[in-house]
Amino acid sequence: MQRRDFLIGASTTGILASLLALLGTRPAEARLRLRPPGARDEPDFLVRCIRCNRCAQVCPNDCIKFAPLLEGLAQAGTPYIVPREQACMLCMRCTQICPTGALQPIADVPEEILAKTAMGTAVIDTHLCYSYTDRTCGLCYEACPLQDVAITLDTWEKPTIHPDRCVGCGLCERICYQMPQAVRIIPRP
Amino acid sequence: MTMHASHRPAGLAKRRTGPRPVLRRLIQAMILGGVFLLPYLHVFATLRSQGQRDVLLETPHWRILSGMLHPFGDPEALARGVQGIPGWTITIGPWSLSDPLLLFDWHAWSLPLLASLLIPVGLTLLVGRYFCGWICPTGFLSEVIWSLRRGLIARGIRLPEWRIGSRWRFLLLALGGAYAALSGISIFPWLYPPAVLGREVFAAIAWSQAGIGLVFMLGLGLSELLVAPRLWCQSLCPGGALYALLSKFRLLRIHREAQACIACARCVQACAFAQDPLRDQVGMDCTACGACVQACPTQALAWSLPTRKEPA
Repeated sequence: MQRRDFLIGASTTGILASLLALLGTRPAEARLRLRPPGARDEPDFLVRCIRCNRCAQVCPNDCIKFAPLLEGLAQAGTPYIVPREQACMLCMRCTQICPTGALQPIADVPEEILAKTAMGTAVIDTHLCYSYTDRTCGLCYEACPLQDVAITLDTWEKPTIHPDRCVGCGLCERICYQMPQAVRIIPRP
Repeated sequence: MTMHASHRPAGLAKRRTGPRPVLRRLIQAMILGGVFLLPYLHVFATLRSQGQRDVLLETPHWRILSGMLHPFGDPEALARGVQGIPGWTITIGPWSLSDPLLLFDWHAWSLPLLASLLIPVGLTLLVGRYFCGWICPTGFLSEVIWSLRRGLIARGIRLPEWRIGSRWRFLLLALGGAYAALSGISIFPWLYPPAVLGREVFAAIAWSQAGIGLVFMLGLGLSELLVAPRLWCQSLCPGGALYALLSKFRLLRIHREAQACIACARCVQACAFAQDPLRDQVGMDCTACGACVQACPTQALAWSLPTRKEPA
């Protein structure tokens, strides 16, 4: 091998390796992401996910997005959901297709969804919510797939979330008519 | 064929020489086509489940696409049946196939993942580095770029030709593998061209997003076209390096029938990976593309089981 070829090869390999090392050592973002249903706890989830894209491709609601490469290798390519843009319909297809169990399989039956899904919890901002500020709305209640279980309505359509039964699908946040939204999903830490 | 038959010494039986090159091109084109088709299927399935199927059906490019897909059945069923990244890890109906590079991601080992490695690893042990020559969508693009480059040179355009040897890829494989094994985070989804291409094409078509991977692929393509022919496959690819290591143990190899060989060296010219069938030196980098077998005018080259000691 000629010296020039060696130098080109060494610099190409060096540039590739150091770029990736730079991305690898980038600290994972502090912001919590809302993971798809069935996700294991964050550290376990991050090493189990092989960035295969299957969960997003199988999602009939196109709600799963992927973290960009610039956020560091630990986060890059992992799936997450921004419910205000598109929320989860709890079809559980992503949990069934995940090949490594980063998303653990959940059957598509209400009892099992309720028992095993813990994406996050909806929290209502009563200062923003129409029903708590002398108007009536009730859209979040209408959107909730677990009506009267995870969310109940009081007089004048005032919603109450039951944190122990809310699975965090985000359909309430998606539909909320207030701008900014009066109900938000806090991801499971 | 009758013209060539005169080169063959009398008494030698006509041998099976291997699959036709058309078959290889067809498979490569199908897989590259799949890379571009998957996001369209996803968009279709999404719009249908959201009750907006008609929006899509009115666009002309979808009409063309669905006309092409018609013999394969309902596009939505197709979208449900195929998930993943072609050339990286994919589920087709009940079958799952994954790249051996995923082995380094040992935190993620699971029964379905390990099972999906069986066919690719098994085939590599049988016929060698077939993936690079038959399956890899970026390998196919690289071949196209290579022939473009030869076309430019044939038209009298002078291009530099850098070749940096075939060892660097083992360094990248070792570094990436060690990093994945230690940290549990794999760099290969961002370094391995079929994985990068599939991810970027999907994001670009389905979500209108452009990522850094597109810049990487574009830069790689341009440098292969202008300064370093087959740079990635020959010198840098960690996936190709792993396939090459596995293929040291392969069963089927190219064998030369010395009596039939007329030493025309067309096989050597045809090889994209600097193998030398003329001197019986076809090593671990053989991608089983069959170019040498097809180039041989006397059918002296053929795949066969090992009969004597061969260089690895």
